[in-house]
Amino acid sequence: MRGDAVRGHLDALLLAVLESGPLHGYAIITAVQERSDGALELRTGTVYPALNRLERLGMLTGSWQSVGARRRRCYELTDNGRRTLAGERTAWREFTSAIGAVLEPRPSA
Amino acid sequence: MTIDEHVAALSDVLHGPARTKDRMLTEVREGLTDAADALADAGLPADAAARRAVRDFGSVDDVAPSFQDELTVAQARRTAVTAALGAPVLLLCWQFAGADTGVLSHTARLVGAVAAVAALLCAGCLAATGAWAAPRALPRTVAWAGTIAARPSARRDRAHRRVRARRELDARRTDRRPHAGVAREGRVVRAGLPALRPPRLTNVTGGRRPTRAGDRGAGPTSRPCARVRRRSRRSSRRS
Repeated sequence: MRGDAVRGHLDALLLAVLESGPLHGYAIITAVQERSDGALELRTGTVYPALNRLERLGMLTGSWQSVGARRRRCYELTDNGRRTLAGERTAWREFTSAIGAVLEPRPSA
Repeated sequence: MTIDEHVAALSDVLHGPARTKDRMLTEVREGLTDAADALADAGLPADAAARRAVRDFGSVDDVAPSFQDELTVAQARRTAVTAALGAPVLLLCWQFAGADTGVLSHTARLVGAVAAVAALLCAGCLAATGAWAAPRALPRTVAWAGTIAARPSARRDRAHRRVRARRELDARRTDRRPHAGVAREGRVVRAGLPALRPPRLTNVTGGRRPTRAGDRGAGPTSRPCARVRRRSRRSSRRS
């Protein structure tokens, strides 16, 4: 899938993946890939700044979790993030409905 | 390139608050290590898995701008917080210097005013880069605003085009000079030449066409060629 088509929806994808529970960076990347059946492969280098931005905007909260000798930063969705995700879903449905009506017009009765 | 080399190369090009930068780079290193471990579990050798993870992450030139944007915002927020904390101290100085009416008090009041303005700007910077800047409905609002703003201008453009077309039509009607290539009254006009009248078409069923003065014996098929042939037949009969 074209990268530019995905880039504009990266924030919404990350918020949707975190809706089910907190995840760390690499788990978020693999979750997006699995949900899309491999169609979406996010460049990992773009995900970490996006997560940082969403945390700064108050949609996520980040915390360090120690796994043995390693530390992973886990992100969790906030109430603000849930509201934003709901808005993004509504906007996406309206958008696809409008585009679909033009690309695949219903036959006139 | 190994994971540590890639993270070091990324660190060399990034500039910003040390704490934020270290946190981001630690997260990147751990993420790359997780990716390499997953690829190694899938069967790749450790070195190849690390190289593949680095390649999937993206080159330093590709990913550095996104990281730098966040570091720049973090630096701006830190500066804004520092300046905002210093403003109340200056305001207190302004209050203490208010009793005296000398040059010192005037200077203190001026500095206090500057501090108040700086505090407002800092508060604005923090609000613009923090949770209040979350683009909830902003893209849709901007899109709708752009659409609504474009509609009057589109209507205005259509009106201008209609007025312009009407003016051109009026100009052509009043202007008697033939214009090259412009069709006028249904006839093609060439510049400097008289208007050419298109040939009249006869009815295929042989209907009568209007006769012109001087036409004799013009019948249903009075074409010039037909007239010449009839004249030659008449002349041959006489002879």
